[in-house]
Amino acid sequence: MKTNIKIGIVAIVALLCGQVVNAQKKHDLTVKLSHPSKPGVLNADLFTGSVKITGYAGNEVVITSSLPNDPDKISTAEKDNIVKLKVEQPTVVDFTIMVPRNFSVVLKILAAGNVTIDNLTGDQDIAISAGDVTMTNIDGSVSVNTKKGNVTVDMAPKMMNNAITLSNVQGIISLTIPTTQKANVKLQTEFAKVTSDFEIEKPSADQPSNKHIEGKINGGGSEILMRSVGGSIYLRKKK
Amino acid sequence: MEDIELEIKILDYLQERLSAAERFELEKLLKTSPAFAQQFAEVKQAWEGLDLRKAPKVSADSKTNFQAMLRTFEMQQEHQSLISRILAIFRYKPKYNWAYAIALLCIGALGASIFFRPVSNNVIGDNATSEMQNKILMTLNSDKTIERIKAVSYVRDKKNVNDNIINALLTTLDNDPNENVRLVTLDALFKLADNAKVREGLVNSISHQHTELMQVALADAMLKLQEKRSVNPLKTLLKKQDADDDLVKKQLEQTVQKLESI
Repeated sequence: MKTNIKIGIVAIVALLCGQVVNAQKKHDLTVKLSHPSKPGVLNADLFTGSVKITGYAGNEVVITSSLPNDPDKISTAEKDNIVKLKVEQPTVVDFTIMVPRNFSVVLKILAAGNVTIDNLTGDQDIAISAGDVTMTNIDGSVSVNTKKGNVTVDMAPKMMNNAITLSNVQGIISLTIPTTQKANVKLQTEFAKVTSDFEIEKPSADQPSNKHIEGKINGGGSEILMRSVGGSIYLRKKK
Repeated sequence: MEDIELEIKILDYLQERLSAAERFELEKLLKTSPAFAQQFAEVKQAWEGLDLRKAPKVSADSKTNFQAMLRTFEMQQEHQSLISRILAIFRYKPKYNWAYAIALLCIGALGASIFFRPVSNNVIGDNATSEMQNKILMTLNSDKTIERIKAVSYVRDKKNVNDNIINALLTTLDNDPNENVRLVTLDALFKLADNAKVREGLVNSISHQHTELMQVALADAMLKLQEKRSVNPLKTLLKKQDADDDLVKKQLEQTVQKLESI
C-alpha cells in the first residue's frame, strides 16, 4: 500500500514537471551570444504588453513569452552580442527575459505596458507611451521616458559617473541613489512638488524651491535630470 | 727620333711604362749607340736626382693644423662680416624711414595680440579643442540615446560654445527621436540663451515640438527668458491641443498670459 502511494506521488510529480518543461519549451526562446561573457545589448521593440528583464549569471538570453512562438508575430536575431526582439503590431504579449548581468537594454513600447528591470550593469534606455517603469540595482546610465506612468529607479549601492534622465507628463518620478553620490541635479515639475532628503547646493537663492530645484549634491558630478508636468518628484538617499 | 722624343722614351723606360717591344728596341739602341747611351745616362741621373718618392711627406698633423687655421681665419672673417652687417641694420638710414615705421607697427600689433589674448578656459571652439568639438558633433549623431545625452551634458558645463555646436544642438532639439535627448538639449541651450542665435532657435523650435512634455518645457524656458516673440507660436500650439491634455493646456495658457503681461 505504502509503495503504491510512493509510486503515485512520483508519478504525479513527474507529470507536473513534464508539464512545466513542456510549457517552457512552447514559449521559450534561447538566444546564444557571439561573444559570451562580453557586454551585450537587448534591443526590444514591442507593441503592447508588460516586460520583466532580470540580470542573471548566465551567458545566454532566455526569452519567455506569454504567447506560443510564432515567427510572424515575434522575431529574434543576434549579431555581435546585440539581441533584437521585435513584436509585430498589434500583437499583445508579455515577456520575462533573463539576460547576462553586463547587458544594456534599449526598450520601446509603442502603446502600453509596465516594465521591470533588475540587476544590470549596462545602460538602460526605456521609451514607452504609457505604463510604469521600475528599476532596481542598476549600475549604468539610465534614460526613462513615459507619458503616463510612475517611474521608480533604485540604483546600485556603488554608482559610478552615470547620466540619469527620467521624465513623464503624469505620474510620480522617484530616484534613489547612494548617499555619497556626486551629481549635478535638475528636478522640475509644474503642478506637483519636488522633494529630496539630499542637501542640494543651489547656485542662487531665488529658485522656487518646491517645484524646481537645480544644483549640486556632494560637490557635483553625474548629470541627473528629472522632469514632469503633473507628477511629484522624489530624489532619495539610498538607506 | 728627335732628342726630346728619345728623352720621353727614356723617362717612360725608367718608370717602366714601355711595352715589351719598345723596351727591347730601346735596350738595343742603348748597346749600339754610344751617343744614346750618353743621353740615357744623363736623363737617368737627372731622373733619379728628382726622385719624388724621396720627397718628405706632409704629416697628418700639419694637414689638420692647416685646416684648423684656415677655418679659424674664415670664421673670423664671417664673424666680423656678420657683426658689421647686423650693426649696419641699426645704423640709421633716413631713406628707410617707412620701413622703420612698419617694423614698429608690427611689433606693437604682435605685443597687443599677445597681451589682450582672450582667456580660453572652458571654451569649446578654439583650435586647440577642435578635436573635442568633433567628438561632440559625432556623438550627437550616435544611434545610442545615452551617448547623445552624455554629449549634450558635456556641452552643458561649458560657458562658451562655438556656432557648429550650437547648430548641432538646435538640430537635435528639433529632430532627435528621443524626448529625453531633446529635454537635456533644451536645458543646455537655455544656459546659452545670452547668444541671440540660440534665443531665436529656441523660439523657432516651439512649432517643431509635438510632445506635451517638450511643449511645456519650452514654454517654461520662454517665460524665464521673458521672450515675447514666443507668444504667437505658443498660441498656435494651444489651438492644436487635444481636449484631454488638460494639464498641458493649462500650463501653456498660463505661460501665454504671463508673457503678454510683461
